[in-house]
Amino acid sequence: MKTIKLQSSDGKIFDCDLAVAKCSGTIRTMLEDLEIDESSEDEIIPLPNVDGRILRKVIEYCNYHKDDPTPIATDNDDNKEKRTDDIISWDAEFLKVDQGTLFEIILAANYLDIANLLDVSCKTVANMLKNKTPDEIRKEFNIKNDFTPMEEEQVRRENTWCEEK
Amino acid sequence: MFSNNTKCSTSEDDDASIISQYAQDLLDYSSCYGSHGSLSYSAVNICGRPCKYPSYGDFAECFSLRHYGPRTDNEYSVKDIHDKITFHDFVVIQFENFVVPREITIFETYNPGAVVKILAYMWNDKRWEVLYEEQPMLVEKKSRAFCPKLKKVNAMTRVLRIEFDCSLLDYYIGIDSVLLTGLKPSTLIPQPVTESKFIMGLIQQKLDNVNFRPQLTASDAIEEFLKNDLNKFIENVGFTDSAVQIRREKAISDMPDEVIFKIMSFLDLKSLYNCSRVSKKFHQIAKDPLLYTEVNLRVYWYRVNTILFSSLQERCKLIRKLDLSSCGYYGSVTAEDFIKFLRANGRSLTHLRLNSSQFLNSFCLQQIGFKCENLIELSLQNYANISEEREFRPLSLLTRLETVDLSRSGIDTFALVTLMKSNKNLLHMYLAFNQQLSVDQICLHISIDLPRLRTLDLWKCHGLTTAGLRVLARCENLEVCDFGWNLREESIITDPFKNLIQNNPRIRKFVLAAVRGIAERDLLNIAALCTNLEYLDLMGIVGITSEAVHKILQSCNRLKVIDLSFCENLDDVTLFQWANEFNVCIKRSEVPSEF
Amino acid sequence: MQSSIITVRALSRIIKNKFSTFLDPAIHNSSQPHFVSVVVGFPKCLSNKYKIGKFGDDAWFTSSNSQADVIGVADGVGGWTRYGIDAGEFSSFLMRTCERLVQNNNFNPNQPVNLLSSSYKELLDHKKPILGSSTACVLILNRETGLLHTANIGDSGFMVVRHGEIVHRSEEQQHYFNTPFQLSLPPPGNANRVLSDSPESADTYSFPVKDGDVILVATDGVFDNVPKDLLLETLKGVEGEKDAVKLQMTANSIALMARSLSFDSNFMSPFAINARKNNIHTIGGKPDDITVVLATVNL
Repeated sequence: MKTIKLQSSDGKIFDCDLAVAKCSGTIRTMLEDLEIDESSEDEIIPLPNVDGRILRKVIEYCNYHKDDPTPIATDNDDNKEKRTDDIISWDAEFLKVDQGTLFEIILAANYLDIANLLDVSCKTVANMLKNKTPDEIRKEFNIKNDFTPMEEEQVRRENTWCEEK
Repeated sequence: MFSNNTKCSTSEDDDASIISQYAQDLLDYSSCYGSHGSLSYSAVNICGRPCKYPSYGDFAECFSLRHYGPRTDNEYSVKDIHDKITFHDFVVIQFENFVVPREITIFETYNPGAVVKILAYMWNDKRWEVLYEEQPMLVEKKSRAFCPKLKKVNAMTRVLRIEFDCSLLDYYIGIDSVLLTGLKPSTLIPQPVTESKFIMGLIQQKLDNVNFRPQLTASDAIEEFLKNDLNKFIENVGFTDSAVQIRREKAISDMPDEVIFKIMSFLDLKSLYNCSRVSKKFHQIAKDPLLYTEVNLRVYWYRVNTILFSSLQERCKLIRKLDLSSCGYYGSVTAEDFIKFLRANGRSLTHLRLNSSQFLNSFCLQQIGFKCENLIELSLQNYANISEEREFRPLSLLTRLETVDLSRSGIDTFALVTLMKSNKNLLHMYLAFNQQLSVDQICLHISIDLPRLRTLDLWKCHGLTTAGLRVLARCENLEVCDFGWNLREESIITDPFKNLIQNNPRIRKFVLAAVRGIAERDLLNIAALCTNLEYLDLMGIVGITSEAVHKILQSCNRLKVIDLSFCENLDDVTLFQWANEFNVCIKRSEVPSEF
Repeated sequence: MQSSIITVRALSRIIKNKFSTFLDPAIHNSSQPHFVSVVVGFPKCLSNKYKIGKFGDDAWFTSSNSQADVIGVADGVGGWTRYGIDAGEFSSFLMRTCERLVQNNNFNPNQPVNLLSSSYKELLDHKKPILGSSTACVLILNRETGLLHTANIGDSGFMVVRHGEIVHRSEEQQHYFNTPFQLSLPPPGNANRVLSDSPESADTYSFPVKDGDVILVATDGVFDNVPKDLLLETLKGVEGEKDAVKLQMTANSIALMARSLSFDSNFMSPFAINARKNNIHTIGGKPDDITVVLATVNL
């Protein structure tokens, strides 16, 4: 079993199957660039943008999903399925974390270029955004309302069509 | 039959008066089984008092939709669809008296359970109110007086829109009548609060969405507190001193723009607009045209107004697919709005659906022709119900069409022929209910100009004769053929019919409902030649025999559904056996025997 | 026309009565003429179950809407039974559809031919193939103009009696003896073998009616068996009659007369007289379905 060593920003080292690590596009590219062949077992891949706690979660995800078929890349956005109700229960459980962790996972998935993890975590956030008023969204996600009263009024007028459910 | 002489006695108490009334006028409908001007199975049968209820059956005196089962045409903008209660068909009815609605009873006489939404047009507020919405459900197959629990409103109405979703049904529906009961407007007792089940729904959803879940073990407790609660604690207490600042947890504001964009790409239109009100950054990202490549306003038809339209204009610079079906009742969207939109964004449109779009007129069609040069799919169902003007010629400026749906549009033969000549790549053409067309002439031009045609829908066009069949035989790529209720006068169609199916072996859906001239030899030809057949509609064929049906079942291995309703000479027991033996769904309609 | 303003108590009464017919009293403007009508009849074979709107292969309807009162009868041509087709289905459907068209206000109150024509076209839109043929006679009383518009195809007909005299009578339309004009829908492939007259070939006749006029609309079961004079005598007696019960009694006696005479093998019936004119020596009544619609015009 070929393994690779990944180092998080806080210095922790994780052993991980090569196949699992290659779920990440970034790691794949790094492996190619650094010309690390499969025989060298001592090489450590540094991941300065991901801390240990999050890296552990990411590896857990990739381990579960390592046998997923790769999605076919298409030119146009039209064919991409934009559903949010198709999150499998394992993923839903996996992402039952506090907001901070969720967003760190998103950042990690973005940096590491793990398409399915990025998708499902973004879908999860999208589900949290749905069916909420702007006020509720701000409260939920700690967002500051930085509109001037005039701007706010302008934007509100655009939204008259979706007032109340 | 003393109906013309019976007088009624009315007495009115001094208390609140309740008015109970049946629908008086039909204002609009998306589809019905019958043709315009005919009473049989038509939408107009929903008006008046029930005439068949409580009998159960496939009655001509009731309102029936043209389709049943799951829909095959794909909705635009899937993210706007999947978590909403959507409709396939609708009917808009008007009652004589304004009432404050309290009870609506829908008399269903065949395959109940399709009603998913009821809306009422609130006269004073000039907007539609959703009185009932629920997913379609499987219900016992017998007639029922469906009386759903309505949202309580305190404004008056006399116009209802009832929406149907037939995806769970395995055959046509039948609706006999609609009864609206409500309070007389003048007797209304002012209510301080409009109780609404939707408010409860929002609270419930909020509770469900709370994400804060402390995952505490004994050793993690402090760490977790520091990560989660401390920040909130600080915020609540009001600490802003940077010296106290602990490593802040990541929030949505820390996400790079492309991530926020990605999150928003999963949002439906309404949520997108809500997000754009949250903060400046959200507003900026939520306006990105790449989020508006597919816009489905049919789902929001009762909310769409001019303001929304103008704000969309800016956002839809890269729009490809647009569905504006059912928009524009009572002037909420005007032709001018639509034309302005097309002038700005028409060039990028590839798919445009305008079924029952109330604002349509000749100018709109003109602009479509001028501006939408990249259009490959255009749908104008029910245009004949909306506008008396019939100026279709500008549509021939389009040249890239592959799919065109002109069911009940009122298009004239000349304009259609011109359209076909400019769009030789047409693959799918829907022309149902266009009785004004010279169908044989259309078929002639199809055989000349549209060699690639795969779908031809001529349901209830009435004009098809053997001459048309003969020229259609020159096509070779037909996969879906709907000749329902055509070839009426024809007694013998065998030779042209055989040629047609011989040259089009790929036919998988064949509708021959009420093509009364079909004889046994034609059915044997189908058995011999239509090897790819999956769906066959033989409703009401007089000359059908058991042997022919058996032959078809034996030879057409891919057959999944065969409709043998109103075929008299067939025996139900045998059919039931065959259905099991060949694993085919056999449709048999019922009308109780006392005619 | 279908709505009514009622109290809560009345609402529950209605629900118990299953929405019995109400008519807004305002519809009957007292200065406009309207029908008081009754119906009676006998099928040729009494053993069949009674179905409303039919007597054997005969069918009838009466209806009204805001503009007009309408009466119609249709006699199904019996020969179809030989081919396995129910001879009464066509006539029944024709009459039921006319009734629906009237109630839906879907017709021109001055054009009974249009009504028949639309009704005939509806046959083609019915899922169940309706085959067969029948005669038809339709009368429309336009309440606003006071004119009676009539259309007749075949050998059913009507008779109007005023001041003791027959003032109007329909003409029998026959291709040849015992083969009346008929609307028909043959099985596909048999169009050239079957007699089929278009609705436009109907005899039409419009005339004003007066208060007290008696109108008899009936199928040939009546006119073939009851001599004209006997009918006149009977009808004279109910001129101006507004009481439906009394009208019903008269209608009943006409129908009974027709029935008993039809089975009287020694009676020189109008049918027998006609036959002899065509060189067919026969005597006796003609057993047939009998339909009698009797109406008086009332202001």
